[in-house]
Amino acid sequence: MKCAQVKNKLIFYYYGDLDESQMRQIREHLEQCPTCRREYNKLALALDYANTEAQMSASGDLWNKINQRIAQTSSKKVKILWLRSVETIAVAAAIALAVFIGSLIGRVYIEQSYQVANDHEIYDDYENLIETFSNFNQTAYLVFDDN
Amino acid sequence: MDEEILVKKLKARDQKVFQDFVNEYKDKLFRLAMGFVHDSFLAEDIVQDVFVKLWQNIDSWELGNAKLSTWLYKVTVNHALNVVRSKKKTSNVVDISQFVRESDDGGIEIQIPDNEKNPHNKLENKELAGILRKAINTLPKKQRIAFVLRQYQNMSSKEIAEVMDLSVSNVDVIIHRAKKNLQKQILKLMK
Ligand SMILES: [Zn+2]
Repeated sequence: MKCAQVKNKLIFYYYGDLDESQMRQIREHLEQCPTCRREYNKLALALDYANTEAQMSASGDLWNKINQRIAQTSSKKVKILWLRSVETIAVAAAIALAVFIGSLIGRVYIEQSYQVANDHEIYDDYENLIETFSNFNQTAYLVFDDN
Repeated sequence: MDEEILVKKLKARDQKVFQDFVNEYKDKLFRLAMGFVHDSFLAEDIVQDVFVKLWQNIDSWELGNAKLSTWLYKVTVNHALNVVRSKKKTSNVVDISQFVRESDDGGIEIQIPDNEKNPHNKLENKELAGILRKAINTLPKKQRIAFVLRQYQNMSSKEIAEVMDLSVSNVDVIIHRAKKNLQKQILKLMK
């Protein structure tokens, strides 16, 4: 096999994609051609590293981090609701009013106002993800703009 | 576990089942993300996001959808591609964001990974990671996804076809092209 032919097939040789006879011809060529061998070694170095990456593991505490975030998002939602949203002011006013009236006629209004607050759940982050995740039923299609 | 039972238990907020599910898929998704970002911190963030969102949205999952695992792969790919795209825009800036984490009390803390303590190792691997990132990211999107699913997940053409909604023969052609282009790019970068 000539150098040009071998060079065209280096990556397929690396992955063992070729038939037996081609694999053998390239192996023999690489043994005696330093130019092609140099090219092959460079390619193999990068692809070996890809194999290393493909065997790496996520860190051991990944579950803890996920668990923490799950717990956080629920508490964060409530916190943001009370601190930031415009409705909060109205709710706060309603509660103040309820407390005031409540001091006169009872505590029912406080409970009702709190219910209003809980109805306004706010997702505060991962905005760019919402689109991807918002609807399971539309599934996640991979969009290609090329070949 | 049967998928129907799995989904039912996840919908019922069974944390133990969710934890087992995370443990079953976390390394697979981590490697998949690595194939796009070549950075373990970023890859881990991606995996976290995917699982957190799964947990938050499991209520709207309907049986008859694609398999949950297929969905996970698709979402991980989409998210990783978004991350790569957003990183590209800021690639001229020295990026320390990968070392910065929000601590439990809401403050900021900086973590340096263990392998950074070995400068020799670090440089070499970082260089190779950079070459792979550049080379793989020059591939057209379809080729990139198909190649990463093969190289980083060891998926068969049939499995790749399922994730990418393509025919098996199409996948084979795409991977062949991807490898050809990748060789060209890698050798160009390693001159
Ligand atoms: Zn030669």
